[in-house]
Amino acid sequence: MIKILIPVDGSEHSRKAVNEAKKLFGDSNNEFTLLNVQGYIADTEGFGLHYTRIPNQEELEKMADNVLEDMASEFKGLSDSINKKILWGDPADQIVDFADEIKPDYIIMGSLGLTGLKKFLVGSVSNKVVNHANTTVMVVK
Amino acid sequence: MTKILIAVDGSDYGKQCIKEGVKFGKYEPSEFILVNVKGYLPQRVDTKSLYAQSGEKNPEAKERGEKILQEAATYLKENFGFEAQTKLMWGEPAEQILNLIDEVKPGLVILGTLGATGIKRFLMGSVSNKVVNHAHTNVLIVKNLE
Repeated sequence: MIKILIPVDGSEHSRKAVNEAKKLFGDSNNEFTLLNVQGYIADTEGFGLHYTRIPNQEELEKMADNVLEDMASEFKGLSDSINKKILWGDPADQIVDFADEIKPDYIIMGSLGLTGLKKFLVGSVSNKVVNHANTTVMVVK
Repeated sequence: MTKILIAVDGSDYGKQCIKEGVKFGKYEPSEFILVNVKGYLPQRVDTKSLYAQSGEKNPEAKERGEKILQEAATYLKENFGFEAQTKLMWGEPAEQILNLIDEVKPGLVILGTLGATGIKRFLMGSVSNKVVNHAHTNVLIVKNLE
């Protein structure tokens, strides 16, 4: 059994990663874990130095649930072992720490093809994971 | 035929990259291309060495690179029965790997990151980041040794 961790954010790029994981490992009974990381927003009263969970945490949890449900539905009929996990904080840190915890064989993740600041920011998540994960990482294009 | 491009550096991580390549190569018929990149010598005035003076290809580095590629190809052939093309390239590693990706259009690129420590690891890390950020193809960054 191969364990695969797929960080997903609901974008088409993370769907690509899900589809690649399905294509490569979906035919046998491997274990897939879908992870969605929700960020904190800065507590302005702390001048951005302190981070707190934003008040409508329930709403964010619902959003995360929807993303995970949606991505999990891609595996329908392929594998029964689909785990879903929501974590809070910096996406790259959470992905790296969670991978250390569950020790998957692979992390399969998307990389956004966007330009400008968004590319820079999103690219930095996959860069950080590539640099710090102790697991083999596939970045899907 | 899917092409799998594997960067090898003569370390155990290079071997692990080949093992991973073979695993991914099982899904569809694949063609393997092994690449090793050697840097040009820095341009500086050195009366003892013509090569160092001109920023040329160092014949010792060429020999080392060819040996690494030969050993990797032999490892792939003897353990897994696959033939491979080998390619020795010169210059900045990420740039050269990206050039080769443009040329051969592989379905998967495999790089190792842990074959070195300290500053070298830092530099290699930046190689995989550059390749990941600019390649229009899936990239596998191998971290674990079996």
